[in-house]
Amino acid sequence: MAERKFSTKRTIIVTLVITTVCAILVVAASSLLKPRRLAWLAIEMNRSIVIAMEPSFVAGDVLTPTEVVERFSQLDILLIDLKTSERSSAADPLLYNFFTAAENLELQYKIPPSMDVAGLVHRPTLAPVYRLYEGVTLQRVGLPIYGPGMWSRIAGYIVLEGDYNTIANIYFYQHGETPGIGDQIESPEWRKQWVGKKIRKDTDAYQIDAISGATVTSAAVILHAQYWLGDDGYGPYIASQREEDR
Amino acid sequence: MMTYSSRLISDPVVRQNPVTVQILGVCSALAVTRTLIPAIIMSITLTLILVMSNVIVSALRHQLPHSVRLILEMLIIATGVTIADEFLKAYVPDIAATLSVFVGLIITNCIVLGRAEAFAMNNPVIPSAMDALGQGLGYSLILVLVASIRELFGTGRLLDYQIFELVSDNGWFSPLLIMSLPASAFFIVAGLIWLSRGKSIQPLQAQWQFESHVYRGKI
Repeated sequence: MAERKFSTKRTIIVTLVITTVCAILVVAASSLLKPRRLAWLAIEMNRSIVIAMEPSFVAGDVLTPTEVVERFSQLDILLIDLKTSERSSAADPLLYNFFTAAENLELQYKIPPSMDVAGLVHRPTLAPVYRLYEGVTLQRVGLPIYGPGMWSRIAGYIVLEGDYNTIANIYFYQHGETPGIGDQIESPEWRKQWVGKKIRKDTDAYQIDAISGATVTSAAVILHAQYWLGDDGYGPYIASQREEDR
Repeated sequence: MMTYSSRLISDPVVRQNPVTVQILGVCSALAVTRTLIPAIIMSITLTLILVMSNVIVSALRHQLPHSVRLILEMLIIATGVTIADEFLKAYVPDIAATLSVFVGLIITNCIVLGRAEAFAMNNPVIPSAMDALGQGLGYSLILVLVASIRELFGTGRLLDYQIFELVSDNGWFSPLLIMSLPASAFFIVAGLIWLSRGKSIQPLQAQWQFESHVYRGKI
């Protein structure tokens, strides 16, 4: 086929037209599909709390998006101010994303260094508390926690029994620890150690074994739990709820 | 004798397969073949993009200024890939997560740009579409083959069916872990290349040159 010569002007015009058409197509596809994409993201975020709230789930159990939505809608979500333990109406509990808030300095409170056992420096002022009721009895309470691990932020949930004292489950939502070593914190064997441990100081002290080879990661998670269940974290809220029970 | 248009489709499937004979698009053939479903989705996506890019490039072939044609071909391919990626993320997010960057990397998949530049730039729309379909099917065949072997021997399953009874379920089969690792794809693809090229590498190359000449002249 003979090559045709194009003038510079024509080259520029053709290029501009094709570029514009392509740009419009990409933008149109992206904005039309955005609601669907965001819906999936929301489901993904809720999936972790839904799985965390059900300690009987084993690794490999897969929930369909519908199951996630169904189970999530059964949860009673309360947004609390960690300082006062009061219910907060500053944000919609359904839409409040604790782990995103943890990256937004405006929503944060600076942790006094003496309290900062886990090295968080800042934490969100508001935190969601996920409660699962069966009839009128409180079954379990899910509390989101996070903190620095060896390489990355480790984010997850500690789930308490309805007595606000016994640990029912610990579950990790996101981390970037060493594959094969640090990521053993996700293993059922290690997580099982947490189950049944009491968090009240006047009851039997709890003890968790570090993972050999992953001392930093597992020690970090233990410190996160200490901080978040302590006086600067959910401690006051947990204490106030125990009072109400009496 | 087959007509040229049917040979356009059938040739790249086995005899001049883009992966095993032309050694193009190997990267994704290694990466997304651990299980069958992502491999199938990847094959469909690549075939659709290939057809789309070949048709558009062929339709615009007299308008594309020669000096910037490669960039414009890339732009057209990138647009198609981006839109396809958006659709995958919106409708099959689990599989999109498995495919991760490899959908985006279709932009740089040599088969797509190769066919746009070597075929669509010089041929009318219909033959270009059939050429794209044939190349896509050839790529898909290899992906599905590799993924089937890896899934079957790596897990004892194919799609949702347990083909081999696992030792852990009182069967006889213990999964070959290497099949789940990327290295196994190298061996399998190499084996397929060896099988399809065999001893006849010299004649094949001669024929390929002859045929690309025929395509340019006659269609």
